[in-house]
Amino acid sequence: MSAEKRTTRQSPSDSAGYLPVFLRYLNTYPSAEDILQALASGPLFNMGMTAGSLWVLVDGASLASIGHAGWPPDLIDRYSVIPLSLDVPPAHAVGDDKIRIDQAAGFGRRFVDALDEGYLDDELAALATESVINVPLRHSHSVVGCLGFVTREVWPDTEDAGALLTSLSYALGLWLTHPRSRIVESSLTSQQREWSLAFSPRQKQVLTLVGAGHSNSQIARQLHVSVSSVKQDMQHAMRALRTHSRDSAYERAKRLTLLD
Amino acid sequence: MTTALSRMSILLSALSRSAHPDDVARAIVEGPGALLDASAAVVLWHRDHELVVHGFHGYEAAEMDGMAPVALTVDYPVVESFRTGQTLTLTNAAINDEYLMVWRRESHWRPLFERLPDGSLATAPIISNGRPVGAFAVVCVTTPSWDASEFAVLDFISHALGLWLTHPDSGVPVAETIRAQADPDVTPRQIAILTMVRQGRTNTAIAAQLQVSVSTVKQDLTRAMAHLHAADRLAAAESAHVLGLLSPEGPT
Repeated sequence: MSAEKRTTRQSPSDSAGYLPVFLRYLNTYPSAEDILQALASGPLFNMGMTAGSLWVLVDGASLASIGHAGWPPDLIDRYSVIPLSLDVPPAHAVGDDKIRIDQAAGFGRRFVDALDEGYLDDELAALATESVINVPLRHSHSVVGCLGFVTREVWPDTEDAGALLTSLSYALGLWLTHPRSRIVESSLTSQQREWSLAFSPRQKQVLTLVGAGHSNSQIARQLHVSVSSVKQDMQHAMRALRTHSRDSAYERAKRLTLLD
Repeated sequence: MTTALSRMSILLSALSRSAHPDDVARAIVEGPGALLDASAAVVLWHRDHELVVHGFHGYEAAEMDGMAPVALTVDYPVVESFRTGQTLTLTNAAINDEYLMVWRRESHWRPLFERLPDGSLATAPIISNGRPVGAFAVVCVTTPSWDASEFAVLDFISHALGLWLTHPDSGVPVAETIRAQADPDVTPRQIAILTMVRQGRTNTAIAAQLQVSVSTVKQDLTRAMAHLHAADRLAAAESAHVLGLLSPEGPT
């Protein structure tokens, strides 16, 4: 990879003009495939988007593909479902609720380690990929899905670039959870809401301390409450998160970005 | 420096957070509205042939009294935007404009114009899936040039609000909003058929009741399934129900 290749031809500020047009299109509730095509020829055109996928978060545990564009056919079947426990960028982006920007080489390595030896490097090389970007889609304080795409350019670290990805995160989150998009079943939306409302600040504190390896009695002393109320808080959290152990409750709450 | 893109993301972020409608109006002013030098914004939604104020920011409470709710027959710019689906811009200084003269005579608007001698007003429909479901107005301290880039900003607000206003989390009954704009993609007969499908009736029974042939019923269902992106007749009926397209009393 030469130094010259790592430059950006155009600024995403040109995308300010594309965003209203993209919103207008999103508002007609097209299919996920059509949205990816619209992104590639619209707001992400200047960055040379070559392929992308949209996933919806299912049961807080895995990403299910709802549409893709531009990938080699083999790739599509292999990554139609991505468990959040998998060590891959889309899972990290959703788990940490952070926009992730990876260089293609590192991205390929991660997938290679996690999934199939020597497979993805070739495929990504065929796409002339420079950057791999995963954007958690947000709605109502929860992560509801993920947009993953690859570009021919190095993604620039500018205010405009960040604002563009943030805008896409919220706009696609609105679309994904909208009844008209028919993507997220109403049950999933209500489950997300249940999660975001399910935890009081103290329950979050308790979960965080559990994650730090404290015992119930230590937590009780630290928060100046009784051991039984700590246990009660954990019971509530485990029920809401549909888990049976303290540790997995913490892991799941962290992955769902319920902890501050 | 705050760029156009970051202004747009301010509004989208507020819409996504299921914010209070007044906070949404504020996010219009502080977000994309800042590109137009906006000082106030109001968001209205359509219910029973009236526009009802959903949220506002920067207006005086007395000004809102004159605004809520507005019959679609009232000659206000925001109503005209809703009726025609067009974006309107009015320069405050254009006092020769007959329309504005009529409008300014209303006492509750006078303070607004006195506050903003050099200002202007823009109104636009809130669009969801190609149809107006409400309207919004933005009051600007100065008069922008009102060319392509300003209209693009208004267009952005229009469609962003459309995604939000019809979303269950906006607090506006989504089904009512959509039903108010009789869905042009699904005909009254398709709605009657889908209602009966949801009641568990067979195509033959539906055909008998509507006095049409079974193949007509099937054809209507095929079209409805395509419009509603449904794989089978039950899924189409369920989608139509969720979207509030079916009449609650059943077919007549």
